[in-house]
Order: sequence, then C-alpha cells, then structure tokens
Amino acid sequence: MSKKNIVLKSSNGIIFEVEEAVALQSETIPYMIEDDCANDTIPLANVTGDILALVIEYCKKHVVVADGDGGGSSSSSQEDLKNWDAQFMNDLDQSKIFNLLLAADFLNIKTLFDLTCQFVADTMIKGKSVEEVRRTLNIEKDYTSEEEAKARQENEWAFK
Amino acid sequence: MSESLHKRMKFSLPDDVLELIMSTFLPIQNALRCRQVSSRFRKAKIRSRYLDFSGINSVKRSQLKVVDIIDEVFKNHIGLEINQLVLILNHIGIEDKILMWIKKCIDKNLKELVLDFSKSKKVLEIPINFWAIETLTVLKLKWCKFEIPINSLLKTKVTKEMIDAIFSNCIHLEMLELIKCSMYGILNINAQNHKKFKSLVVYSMPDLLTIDLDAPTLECYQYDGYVRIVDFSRVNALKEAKLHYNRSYDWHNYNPSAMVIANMGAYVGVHVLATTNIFLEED
Repeated sequence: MSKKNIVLKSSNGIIFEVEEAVALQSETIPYMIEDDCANDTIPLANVTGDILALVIEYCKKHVVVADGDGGGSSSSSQEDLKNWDAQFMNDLDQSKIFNLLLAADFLNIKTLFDLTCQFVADTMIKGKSVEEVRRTLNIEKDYTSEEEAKARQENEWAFK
Repeated sequence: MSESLHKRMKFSLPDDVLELIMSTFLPIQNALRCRQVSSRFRKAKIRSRYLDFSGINSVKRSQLKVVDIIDEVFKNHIGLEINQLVLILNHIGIEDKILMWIKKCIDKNLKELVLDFSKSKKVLEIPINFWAIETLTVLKLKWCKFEIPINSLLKTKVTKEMIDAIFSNCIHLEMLELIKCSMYGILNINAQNHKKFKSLVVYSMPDLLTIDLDAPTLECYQYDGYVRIVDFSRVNALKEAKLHYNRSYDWHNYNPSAMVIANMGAYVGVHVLATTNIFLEED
C-alpha cells in the first residue's frame, strides 16, 4: 500500500514532499490541510528552505519511534534518539538554532520546540553571568543601576 | 543599517520566547537570576522544570527564610511540568510543607526526586507511594523512611531492575520486605556497598526459584514459602533466621531435602533459628 505524501513549500519557494506521518508531527499542518490545502501544496510562509529541511530531517528521525511504539520494527532506542538529537543540535550555528526554534513553535512540534529551547537554555544561558547572557542573546541592558540593584534584591537567594 | 543592528535582528529571539526559555528550561536559581537580564523579564513567570534548591544552602539562612523562599516558588509556579525536585534542608517542623511540595511535583510529571535531610539528623517518614509515580526515574533519599507498599504490587511484576534500583538509590536502606510480590526466577539482592542493610523478609512468593544475597551486613532473614536455594556466600553477619517452609506438591524438579541441606551452612552462626517441622524432617 502506498503511503500518502504531503507537499510543503518553504517561504523561499523550495518544495519538499514528505510522508504524511512525517508531516503530521506538526500540529499546525493538519489545520492547514483542513482549511484549504488538501491534495495541494502547503505554503509555509514563516519557514525558509534550509530550516524546513532541518525540521523534516528531525521529523523523519522521530517518526520511526512514534510508529514503532518502542518496539517492533523500530531500530532506534530512546537512548540512540537522545544521542542523535544532541548531535543534530551541536551541528547547528546560533542563527539556525534560533530559526529552527521559531519554526518548531510555528509548526507546533512540541518535542522539537522543547529540544531547541532546552539547547538554548543549556548552552547560551545556564551558568553564565547576567552580562554574558545579554551578550550571547543580544539583549540590551535597559535597567538603571538602581533598578538593577532592586531586581537583584528581589531574587537575592538566586545570586548566592 | 548598522552592523550591530543587523546582527541583533538576525540573531535575536522574540521577548516572549526568551522569557519562556528562561523561565521554563533553566534550573530555578538560574531562572530567577535571568530576571536581571532586562526589565522586560523582571516579572517573568515561574515555570522552571528543575526545582533544584540545593544552592539555597550556599550561605547561612534560617530555616524560616529557606521555607519562605521555596514556598514562594511553589506558590507562583505556573508551569505544566516539574521534572526535578532537589531539597537539602532541615525538615523538622516543616514536614507538611515538604510533603505538599513533593506532591505538587508528582502532579507535574516528576522524574527526579532528591531529598537529603541529614542536616536535621532525624529521619523523615514519607507517606508516599513512590512506585505509583510512573514518571520517576531517579530517586535519591537520605535520612528518609518510606514504606514500599508491596500489596499494591500484587498485580505488578516486580523486576530485577526495580530491586536493583532500590539498592542503588537507597544506600542507607535498613530493611526490605517483599510480601506476595509477583516475581519470577531469581531474586538478586545487590547490597554489597550497603552498610546498614540488616533485614530481608520474603513471604509468599512462590515463583521465586533462587535467592541470591550479596549483602555482607544482613543480620536477619525471614522467609515464608517453598524451600528454595538461597546463596548466603556473601552474607557475613547473619544472626537470625526465621524460616517457615511450606510443602509443595509439585514434585517435578523439586527436591526440598537437598535444598535445605544446601542452605544449612548459612545458619551455623545464627543466634536465633526459628523454623517449621519440614526443616527438621528434611534434615
């Protein structure tokens, strides 16, 4: 029996044809199919081709386990999948990580969103000083010295 | 467009996403520190999945202050998940609060629970059925007492992994009772690194065929059931053995006499040996 495919189109016009089970890890796509795109191309105006390729790579890897329900034909154990996820994220630069995170949010793929958020938290924020976090995430300091001191006082135990 | 502005536009995340990351995916202490990053995050919600309060002890604080800090976090926590709870404190007088905090975490998908009450030098009794927490993968308890409600495992298969998990996580375990548990084959007690494990009770577990004890400090062994082979070769301190043997009418592959004799060596040094007449008959 042939599997149903879904055609996705990135914001810069790149076409991807993927199995339905791969695409349906996104909770946004089913709504788009229902709305007006059945049997047609689904345009993803917020996701560029290179990021959509990454999303699809992730979903393809994860669909196997979802299918196998932890056994049967599934060859990927949870541990293997965790290692794969770590490698997948480590290979990306900051710009791609941010865009992948936003794409996961837009497409509503919870596991990918959690993975990217956790990666940002662990590698760009955790254990860093306030100043380092501002620098890494390009956040401007908008506190006055007094306000900053007060904010610190409000969360005093977190700094000691 | 200036280079810095271009860079900023290219590599930033929206404030709501940044706030979500900082408030949800960081350990609580780190999450609260992030409120200082920008005034936009000063009132960031508390959603941290990792409630590790071990850092609270880095400076001397009164127990009242510690409770206020932790309670404030729990009162304001609006996250859907709490995966980790680490409490290292003096529990005396705040037992109810601690149980309330633990229960709130259990309701929110708790995976890792670390409790250390060695500061109070008094054991806290925890009336929580840890086995019923399906999400729990790490359980580390110091100065805690809890009951393993074996009866609730009647319909559950006790696995080698469960027993191993008990012994690897509860390093100060003193007593383990297994009563009417459904467990097949070999019961391995791996307590070679334990200093306090003194008592093992195994009652009414007919599907066990062999009991393998690597428990140098075991002092009391109580058994009720069919005669089975017990390996006591790594038990050095046995003082008391209560053996209530039942007859099995399934004689296929079953020679109780040989097994009783094989086990005899272990009971040479005991101070108290209580047993049934089947033991005497077979002997």
